[in-house]
Amino acid sequence: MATMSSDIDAAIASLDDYVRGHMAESAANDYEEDLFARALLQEAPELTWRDDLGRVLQIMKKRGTLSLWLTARGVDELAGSGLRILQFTLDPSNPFEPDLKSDFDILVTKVPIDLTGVRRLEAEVFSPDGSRLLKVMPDIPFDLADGAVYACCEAELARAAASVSSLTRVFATYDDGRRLIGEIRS
Amino acid sequence: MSHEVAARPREVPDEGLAVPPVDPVVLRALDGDVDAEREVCRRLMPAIRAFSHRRLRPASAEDFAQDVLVLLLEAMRARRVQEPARLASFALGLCKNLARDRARSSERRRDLLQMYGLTEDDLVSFDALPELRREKLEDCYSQLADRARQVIRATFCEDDVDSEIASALAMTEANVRVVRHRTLAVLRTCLEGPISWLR
Repeated sequence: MATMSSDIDAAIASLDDYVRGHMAESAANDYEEDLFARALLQEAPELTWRDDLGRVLQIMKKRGTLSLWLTARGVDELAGSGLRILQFTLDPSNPFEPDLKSDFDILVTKVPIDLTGVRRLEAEVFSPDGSRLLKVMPDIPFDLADGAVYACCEAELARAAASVSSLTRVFATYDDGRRLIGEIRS
Repeated sequence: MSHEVAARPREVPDEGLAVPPVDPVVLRALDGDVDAEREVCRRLMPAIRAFSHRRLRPASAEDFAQDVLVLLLEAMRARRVQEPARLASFALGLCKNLARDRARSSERRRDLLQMYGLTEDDLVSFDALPELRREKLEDCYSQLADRARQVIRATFCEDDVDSEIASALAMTEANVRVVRHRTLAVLRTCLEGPISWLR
């Protein structure tokens, strides 16, 4: 299994070198001959993988959803793009759910956070009981002036996520270290 | 009608390479089976895109890929593919020749589309829909460190060359290459699994 993984990753790296011009011309000529032959035989998984990746990234960029986290300015740009935005502010003292049945393209959740002195933000998503780390989202972009970060989510993903409970912990790194600054239960 | 050898297309150089096996779908395509023809195009499209990204300005890559597809369709329908086993080489030969004389072929493309009763939408429809689901990529992309995200974004969305990426991120070109290779491997592994919060 490890060999299969390294084989496909090596093939992806070779394809990247070819596409990005890091492969010498003589090697590239042989490489592309082999690549076309394998493509026709459906034996170039790295090719379809990269092609799909590039096309989906382009779609996400056009929709403005390439970044899961936005600043207030990014939210304004998204709202101006023509997509239907459902905005929702997370307030642990007054919890309520956004209306996910309404007609929208993107759910934007405002998470108010005191960003004073924050150098870096990251979020960790855990199972509901906090015992299992499911996901780490490093380097969350933020604007100190916003006093909040904004999580952006496609409608279909938001609806799917609504049925799953999780615990998200937000950590901030200051000059004197890293601290937990918020927990979000969903 | 069975496929007969036609005049050797002038576009295809004799590479003198070993003859690969012939896929039945190729033979059907060369016999005029429209579904098989579409399948051949679907299979070759990612390779044509990769070729055009290496050889051309990124902005013209998609246009180039469509030009190659219509030339390939023209050759198949006109029975100009001499050796079915070399169809992939034939397609690559078209790419090389078209890249060589990139004199605008939009008029030619329009004429050929008209001649064969095709539209540009047909060419787009020959392209398979991505199998990769957007929500999975969003999930995996959000787990990347900032530098890795920027390298991927600049590579696939901005079409920046590596020297531009290196300059923007205060890295060497060699580092950009290494970061991209590592990040692609991380993304591939992540995309193979379930969405993180559904585990």
